[in-house]
Amino acid sequence: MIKYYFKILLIMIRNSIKIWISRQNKLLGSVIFEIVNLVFHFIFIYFILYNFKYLFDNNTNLIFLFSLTFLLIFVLSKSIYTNIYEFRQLITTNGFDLIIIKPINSLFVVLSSKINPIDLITILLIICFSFILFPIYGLFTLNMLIILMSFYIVVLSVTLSTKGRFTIEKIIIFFVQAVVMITLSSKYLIGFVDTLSILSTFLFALALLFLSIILWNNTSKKHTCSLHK
Amino acid sequence: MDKAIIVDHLKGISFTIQTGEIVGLIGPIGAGKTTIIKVLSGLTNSVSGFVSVLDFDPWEKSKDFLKQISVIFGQNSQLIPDLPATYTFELNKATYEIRERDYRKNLDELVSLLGASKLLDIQVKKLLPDQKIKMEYIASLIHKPKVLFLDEPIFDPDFLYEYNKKNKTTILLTSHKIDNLVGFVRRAIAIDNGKLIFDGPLEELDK
Repeated sequence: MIKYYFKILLIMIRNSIKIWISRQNKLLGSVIFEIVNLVFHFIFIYFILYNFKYLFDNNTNLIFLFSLTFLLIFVLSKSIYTNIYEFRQLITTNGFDLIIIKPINSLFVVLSSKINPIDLITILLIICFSFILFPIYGLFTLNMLIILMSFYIVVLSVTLSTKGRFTIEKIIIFFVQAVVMITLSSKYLIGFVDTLSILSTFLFALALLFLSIILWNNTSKKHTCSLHK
Repeated sequence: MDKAIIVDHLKGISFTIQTGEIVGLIGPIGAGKTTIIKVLSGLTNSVSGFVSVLDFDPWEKSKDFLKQISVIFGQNSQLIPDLPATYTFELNKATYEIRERDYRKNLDELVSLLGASKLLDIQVKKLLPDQKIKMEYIASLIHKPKVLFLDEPIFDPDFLYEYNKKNKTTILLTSHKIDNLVGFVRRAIAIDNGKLIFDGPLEELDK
């Protein structure tokens, strides 16, 4: 099962990269723009936080990680906006019907079919940096991604159950930011987290993911496509 | 012959389709043809009656069932517009768990029947409409489904006839024009306002 989905994930990532390349008339310029954009955001946040370094015990590593966290939020929100918008289109044009008549988990296809390669690389780099600098912080970051994915699944379920007529994409940015706070990653960095909180945040993430998948399964099971085209 | 499709009292409509049959579902726009295709492919739940496709309840959408059917909607495409169609075929190869040897064999057969060898490496969005349809057929038939549903598609009757002859695939296609089906569909089922009004040879309906 894992091998099956991993193989499909790799094909989807390859397809996304090819699509991304095919859509760029000036690929090099576009890549440079994306990278400069991300670096600019990072430096901007870093220097703002640097001015409040007393909050971080004058530890530049912590400031660096805080800035990475904000960069992660930036990348994820951008990618979520795009994905949700495209999912709504998929529903309203009955394109989703072509997904659910295939012998594969529809949620997996929806979550992994529109991956922006630059965003993917950024997310992976941030997680790697986090693990290298502070392993537990790295775990928190992963935990944050799980919670974020759960919220994302809830949003997709709402979009699906209302056939794309109602979406809550405008408040997703709020969720993304809330997620960072909920996972306590920031609090961990400045030493405000005890063992119980660490355990509870991981349990919370797993429970939320479980519930969101149940919600999706129920929604997609009940999903009846538009009878009239 | 085995019964591939059984529809019993679906809002008063009943019919069976044998394995390997090509059947045309005819009726005016809004008659309920698309709804029947959607019920049979598991996209819509049948409110009443009994429906079975290849001995499966379509609404359950079991993996074994979905691996044996294919649906082509005239207005929707599964092809990735920005890439050549082969990328969609390869994704379907992994999705349907088709072995490399079978994939090559099926692809060669379809490409040869459709005369589409020169279209494989062209970006889908750059293909002409009839070329795109050929690629859509390949993507939908690459896993050799036992049952093919076609909802108001643009199709090549010769291709469907040849494909059915070779693979004994059960084909149910909808159309609001009898003319579209003459020549390769022997049996027609006509519905209007959600009611079955004819089930028999197409020539008789034509008369």
